[in-house]
Amino acid sequence: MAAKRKFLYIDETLVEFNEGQTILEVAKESQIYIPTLCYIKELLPYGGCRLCLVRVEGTKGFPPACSTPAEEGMNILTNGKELQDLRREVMKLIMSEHPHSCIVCNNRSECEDLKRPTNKSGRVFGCFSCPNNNDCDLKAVTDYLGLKTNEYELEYKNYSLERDDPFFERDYSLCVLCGKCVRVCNELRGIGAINFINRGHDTRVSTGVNQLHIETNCQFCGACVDVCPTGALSSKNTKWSNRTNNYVNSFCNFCNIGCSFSYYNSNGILTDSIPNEINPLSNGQACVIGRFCAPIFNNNNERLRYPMIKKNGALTPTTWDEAFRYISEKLKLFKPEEIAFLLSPDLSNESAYLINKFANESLKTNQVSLLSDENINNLYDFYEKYTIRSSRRPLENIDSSNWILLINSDVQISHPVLLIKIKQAKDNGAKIISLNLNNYELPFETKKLVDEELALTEKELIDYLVENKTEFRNQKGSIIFGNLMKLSDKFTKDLIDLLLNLYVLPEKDVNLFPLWNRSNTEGVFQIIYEKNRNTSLELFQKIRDGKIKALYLTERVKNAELLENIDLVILQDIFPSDNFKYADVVLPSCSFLEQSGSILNSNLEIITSEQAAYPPDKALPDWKILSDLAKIVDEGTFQTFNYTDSNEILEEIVEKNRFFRDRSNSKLKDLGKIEQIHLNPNGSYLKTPEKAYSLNSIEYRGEKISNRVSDLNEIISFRQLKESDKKEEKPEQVKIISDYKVISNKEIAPNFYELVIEVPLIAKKAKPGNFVILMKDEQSEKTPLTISNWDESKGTITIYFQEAGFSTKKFTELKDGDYIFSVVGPLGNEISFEKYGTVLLGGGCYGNGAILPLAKAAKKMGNKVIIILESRNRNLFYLEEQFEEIADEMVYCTSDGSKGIQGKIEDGLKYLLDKGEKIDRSYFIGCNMMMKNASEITRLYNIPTYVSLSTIMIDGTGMCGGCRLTLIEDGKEITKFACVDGPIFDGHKVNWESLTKRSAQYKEPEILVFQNHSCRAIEKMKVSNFN
Amino acid sequence: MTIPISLRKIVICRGTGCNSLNAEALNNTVKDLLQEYDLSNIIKIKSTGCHGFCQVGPTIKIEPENVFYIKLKPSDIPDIIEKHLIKGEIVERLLYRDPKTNKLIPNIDEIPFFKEQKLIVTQNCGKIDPEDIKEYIDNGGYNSLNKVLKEFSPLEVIAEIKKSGLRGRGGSGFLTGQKWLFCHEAQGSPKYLICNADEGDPGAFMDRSILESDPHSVIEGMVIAAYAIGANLGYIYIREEYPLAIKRFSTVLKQAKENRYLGKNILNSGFDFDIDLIKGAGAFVCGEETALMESIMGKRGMPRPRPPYPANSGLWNKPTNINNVKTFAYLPKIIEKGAEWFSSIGTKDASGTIVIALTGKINNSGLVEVPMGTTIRKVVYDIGGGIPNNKAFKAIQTGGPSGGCIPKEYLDTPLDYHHLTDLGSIMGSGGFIVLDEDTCMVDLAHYFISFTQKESCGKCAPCRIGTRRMLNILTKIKEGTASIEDLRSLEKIADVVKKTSLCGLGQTAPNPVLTTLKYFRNEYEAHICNKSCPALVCENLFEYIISEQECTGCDVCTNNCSSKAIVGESDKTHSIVQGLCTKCGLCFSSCPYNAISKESKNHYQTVRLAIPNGG
Repeated sequence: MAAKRKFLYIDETLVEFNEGQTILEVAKESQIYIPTLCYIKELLPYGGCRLCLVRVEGTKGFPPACSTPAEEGMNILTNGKELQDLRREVMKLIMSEHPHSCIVCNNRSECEDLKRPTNKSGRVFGCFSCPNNNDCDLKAVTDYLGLKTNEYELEYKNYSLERDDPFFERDYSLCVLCGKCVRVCNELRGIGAINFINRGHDTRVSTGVNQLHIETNCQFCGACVDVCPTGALSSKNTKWSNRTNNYVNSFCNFCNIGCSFSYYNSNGILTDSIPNEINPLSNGQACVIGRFCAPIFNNNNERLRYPMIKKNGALTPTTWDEAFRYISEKLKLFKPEEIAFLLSPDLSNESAYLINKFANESLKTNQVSLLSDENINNLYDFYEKYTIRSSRRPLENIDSSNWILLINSDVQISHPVLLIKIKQAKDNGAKIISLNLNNYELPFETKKLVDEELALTEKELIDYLVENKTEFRNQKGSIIFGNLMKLSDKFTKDLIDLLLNLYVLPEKDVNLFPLWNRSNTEGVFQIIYEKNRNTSLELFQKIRDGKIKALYLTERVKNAELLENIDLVILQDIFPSDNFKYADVVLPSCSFLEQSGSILNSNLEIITSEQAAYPPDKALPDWKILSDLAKIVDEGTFQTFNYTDSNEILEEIVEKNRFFRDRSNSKLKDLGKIEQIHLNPNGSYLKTPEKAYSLNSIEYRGEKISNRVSDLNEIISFRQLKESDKKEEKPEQVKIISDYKVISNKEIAPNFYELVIEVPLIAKKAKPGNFVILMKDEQSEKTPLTISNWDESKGTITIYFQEAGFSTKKFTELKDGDYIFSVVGPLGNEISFEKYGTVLLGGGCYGNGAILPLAKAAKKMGNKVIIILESRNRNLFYLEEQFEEIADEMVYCTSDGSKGIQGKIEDGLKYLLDKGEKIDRSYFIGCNMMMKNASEITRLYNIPTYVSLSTIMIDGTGMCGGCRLTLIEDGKEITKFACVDGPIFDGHKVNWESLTKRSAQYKEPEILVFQNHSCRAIEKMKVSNFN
Repeated sequence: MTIPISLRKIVICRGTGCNSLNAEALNNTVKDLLQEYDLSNIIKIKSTGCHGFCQVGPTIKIEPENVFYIKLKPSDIPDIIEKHLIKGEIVERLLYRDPKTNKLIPNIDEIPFFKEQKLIVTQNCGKIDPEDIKEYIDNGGYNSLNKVLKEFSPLEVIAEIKKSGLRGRGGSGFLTGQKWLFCHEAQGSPKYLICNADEGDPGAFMDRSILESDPHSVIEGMVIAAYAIGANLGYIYIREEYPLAIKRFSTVLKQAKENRYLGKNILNSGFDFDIDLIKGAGAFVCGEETALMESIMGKRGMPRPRPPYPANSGLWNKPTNINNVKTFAYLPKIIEKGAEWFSSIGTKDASGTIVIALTGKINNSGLVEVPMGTTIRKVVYDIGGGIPNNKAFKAIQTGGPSGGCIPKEYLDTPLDYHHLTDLGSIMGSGGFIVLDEDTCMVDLAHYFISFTQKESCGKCAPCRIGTRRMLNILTKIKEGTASIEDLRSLEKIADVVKKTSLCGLGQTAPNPVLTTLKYFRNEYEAHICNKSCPALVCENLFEYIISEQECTGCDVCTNNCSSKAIVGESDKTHSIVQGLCTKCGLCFSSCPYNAISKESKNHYQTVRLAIPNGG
């Protein structure tokens, strides 16, 4: 586009721009930074954050760069004292409502090294518990403005955490109301599940009437999560895996759009998939499957890990070598015409090519077919007449269409990203018509967009297309054709012929886009098409007729009984299935995320995915399995299967396959017009179309995604349940699983809970310093927690715990009257007090509750008690009243200065020591970093110091060694066990480095536990229905 | 002079003000009694909209001699009928008495409140029946529209309005003709016209009164404007809180359509225009033009950044012209009498009149129309009749929550756009609140900021958070817990909010704080440094004290006190337990002996306040 270039000055630099650009866009293009929190490239300017204000010479005031159009000759200043001061003030105002100890804390860098490994706390209040830790726009802006302090009153919002929905959590206490989520949901995705509610200070984002997202028309596409500049919105399954710089840009292969993603990994385990803008069609957007399900599906525990051979009637793990030799021996027993191959439409071009080559060249069989729904014939027909003979405009350009016909197409579910383009087409004035076969119902979102929705019989559909043809003449148009494979043979054939002849071929600018639900239907088809013309229907028939004795599957067949007649079944798959019953060999392969390989996307471009994660154990890429197998079968006679990577295979495909050669030059040849079709006016069509495609029919390699992603399953069940409107559901009965009854459980500060349990025997024997080990249910982790208070007469103990991970999260779900599976205690050594003089007690986070019994005991012995409490902000203190009653002096320290001294416990200590306080003994309970830093200061003053060490504990009796730690005494390392020797140790002797390392060792499994835990939406709905 | 009874008319004001004082009962009584006296076929009853003098409602005017009876109760009606209508005697006890001269004034036109005004846009108000299109037409209504459609091209209309110097009466005072020209020239179709009747300032009721009293003039103005800019569809956006205005406007919309002043081919000119009535949900920010458009479009009312301006991209991104109710109501008059006539009224920069809703501590509160350039003093003292109870004038708040306070030093300032802006206030849409010596300026600023803070749409950070921070500081000042640093913060935030907010609401929200700080800084300092509230308004900074000398122990205060804070035996001196006192003020206002006074907590500076005796 040769638009006329214009010029202006930004900060005295001459820059070029195009008519219609805003100042911010021009600056971005010229690499000039202007701070902003609410700008999104694709959307209209919002002007909400007021940080991008600039100065334009000759005009009054400070226009926002995001919405002010650039004009020829403008002289723009992006900084300068006055502007920066204004921005600083605005930013300070924003920070006054956003917990920001993570930004102003003076331990910010040190904290990164010493922090607890995976602090999976519920609510976020700064530092490492924020899921946006590594990607914080606020941090970037404050750093740019050099903000360190904030003298304004800090007024954080204590909204309750919203985490009963699948896939993402919302903590609107962190929201800065930039409106990006609302706008992307409304303007870009056209969904409108969320909006602002209330006015003034109470303005917030919500579904409107505090519904769960699952109850609205939220599609869980994650667009809101991706644009959020803070930690307010976060992906619940991946938020704690600390997004690193370790990522691979690749394409999603769950359908054939091929949306582009950045796949993040940690030590080869996929941690997150964030859409990026490499693919112009998806352009940074995604759907629930690609955005949220990919890591969970891929990391599933049940993935196939080892090759298996049937021995004595059971599949038994073996080595690859043995498996290959076994297959090789067995295959020799069959004639070529007895061997058949069924290829998964999710295979990469390279894998499909090698299988095909192996079949054709090594085994001399051409019985290779695409394993797809029955009427594969349509594909042959379609490619004959259309793909090869016509050209396709890229799908991303459908937004410039004048009309779009959606035929039996539910893009909202099958290809949600495409709906964005359809919406844009509609916004640009296109007419959208949806033609559906009778029993086909559009999802609500698609319905909103269509101008006309017609439910037709098959004949009426054909008639409509014939009659209305002229209406669409001479205009740019697009026909989107869904569920091609689900229609009857005859009907599809007629329909395709009709569309091609009446619409596509005579018109210059009408394009037909068939949508495939699987990723590489077109690619695999093109690979095998030249030499192998079997349809899967024909092969199935041959199997039934007993003509095929050996079958090589790269995806399970839907009808497993079919395999009964076959002597040798080789199954190459990623998950177990009912086909195992008949399989003689099972070969574990990789998902598209674990191997590199190409597919043909919806534009028939070859797009190559890169390996983004390590395969599970011994699983291998499909092409690698085939090349290794072929080498063994060929016994080294041919050298044609020597490939070192998939690129070499692709080069060979391009060389040998005409279709791919054309693609790789990305030039399409018009092979001329096809002959006129003849419609059968009374055509009897064989089948009625199937019911609408739905979320639970989305598959990869034959495995339903919803089988492996509990949250996705939850969405499906929830919506089904809602449809059926089951009011008679009763709330679950409280199960009495033990004697340990929960008297009360409540959140007393964000993330901090007070749990009172009835355990008379423990209440009788508890002493200061004791702890108990709790298990919520039979499968729970054992969690050691300090006893903070006990009442012998009532037989209760009180525990203060912080939600910091999966097990403590489960404790938060306990309701009054529930029962806890197991309570073991009292464990640990008693801390007895004498009269020392002045006793200092320091608590941080969960430690505040733990120092309470110590404070009482110290006071009882007549000591002067000084208590220092540390937290990130003032909202997080609890038990203040009880402490103030006991303590002779209270010192509060907050990272953001919202109460007491601004700083950490060491700042509180320094304050006390500087004013000459003589301390005889000190105790600290909190995170490792807090205890370490406090110990270092007391060491300088020779104050005896004791710390309570929280380690990983299993049995609590000194047997398992999980809680092992080392003390350094006289330069020697001594091993101790926290459960029996502790939990209190001399703070000056602890080897902090090894302690921190040991507590980080279960980081990765902990994250995986979260991924397999489904949301609580259904549970919540049952309760609300009953009420 | 005897007037034949058949020529008489009883004119009852049925504006919202009088209605709330039970004008309906008055109306019913008149009807019933006329029937009783068998006069119902002879004497006509006419219901009108607000005549502006709301202070004295409910009222009846007897035509043709225009005798004005005020503060009526249904029991006064028999006198009026028997004495005035039948016998021709004026009922003196129901007449208006001029507080200055202490003379009775029977004729409405002789009352200073009316005499000093110059009525253009409100000239029909209180005179015609708003729901009767015939009356409007008989008073020259729709002549201007006819004239425009027959004799003017759209550009000629624009030229005429430009020449008249009419400025938009919504607040900012932009030249109306110029605004129309932008929209007329803008590319795109269709074009829309909007009448902004989302009057949300506390204490303002100018637009409501016009919509209730002379709605046809707004319709006529809208059609003229639509013709000029080339719009075929218009919207009037009235807030739901104006039920009477909505009811009357819907009625007259129907009449206008029936009489072909609206709809297809208006008056056979070939021009089509129709108006849709949209009810606003009562968000203050929806008075901001872009937020109002979002609201019409069914979205949350949040302002959009400008540019693009509505003239180019407004409603549904099409060229849109939006004007205030009063702006439209001026148009028929300007067309009728000519641009020169209009520009000869008022000042050089600001032609025409200004409509003021005069409220607060003022004797004659009500709707006032005066030429631009009239001094504040004239409005307050000559028309408004001064401050009640001989209190001293302290300041006048103009322009509602977006405006500022003007102290008594500037009483002689002429009312026009630039003079008010120079003083840190704004003209706004015309809500004027008079403040007397009993007003605490910190409390006033606190009131307005709490209003804007609550009404902020939440879109831009400085307005949403800045006003909240300001409110919290003002609360601290009122409570006596603020430091001088807080005052500095307050000023800094006010400056930031003014400079960086997205829309007019935020940009002007600090004005009440900034002007009170400018003119009454000593009051802020007294709150902060001396912990005292000079006007004895801020609850934490004063105490109610019972004077030992004057208390008779009558127990009136004890009985009124809901928090049981007053102790003392009957017939003996009482005292107040300060810890229990909630400062509700009931004892203070109910003490028959004026024995209770407010005292500043710190300075024990006693201010004995006179108890107003029944008005």
